Amino acid sequence: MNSKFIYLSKKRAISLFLILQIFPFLMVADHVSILKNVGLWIGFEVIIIGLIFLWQLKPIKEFDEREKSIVLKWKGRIIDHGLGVFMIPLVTICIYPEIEAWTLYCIAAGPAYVVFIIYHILMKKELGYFFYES
Amino acid sequence: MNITNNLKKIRLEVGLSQKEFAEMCEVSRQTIHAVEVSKYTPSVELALKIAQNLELAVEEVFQLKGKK
Repeated sequence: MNSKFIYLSKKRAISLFLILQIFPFLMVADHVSILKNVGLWIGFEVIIIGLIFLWQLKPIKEFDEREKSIVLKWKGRIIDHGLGVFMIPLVTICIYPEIEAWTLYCIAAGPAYVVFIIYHILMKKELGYFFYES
Repeated sequence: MNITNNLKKIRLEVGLSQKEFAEMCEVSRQTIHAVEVSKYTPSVELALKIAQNLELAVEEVFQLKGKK
């Protein structure tokens, strides 16, 4: 069946990887060891690619009108609240600029994943995939 | 919701399961269930398709609340 979702193709993954190369420059500015910088860099890339994979989970079938409206509603919420979560590190760095990159990374990535996973579960629940009701 | 329906009653009278009826209407079983319990108001297209599959007029399946 046809699907209107955009998948993480090889070409898109390479483009994404190239875009993500800006992160080491941000990390280098933090004056921590090279190893830690590399770790953080890889971590950021894994987080971002992971979020994109979650976003573009392939549906096993074509959605009907009700399912499409539910998916759109929850994806809208993910954008709103997910971006809200990314405000946490931005606000933190404004208030406390001496914060370590590792801490910043944890407070950015952790809540973002939680929002994505919880919202996907709630979306699946609303779609009626968990319980059989008749 | 301002729209009620007696889809479940009619479907059971016809002897169709939710799954069979969903396949006839080209939607998921969950959507048929959501329509039956008035959790979801179908589009005009789906409402017409449901009525057509039951060989009834759309207003025999769906009614505005408070109208007979």
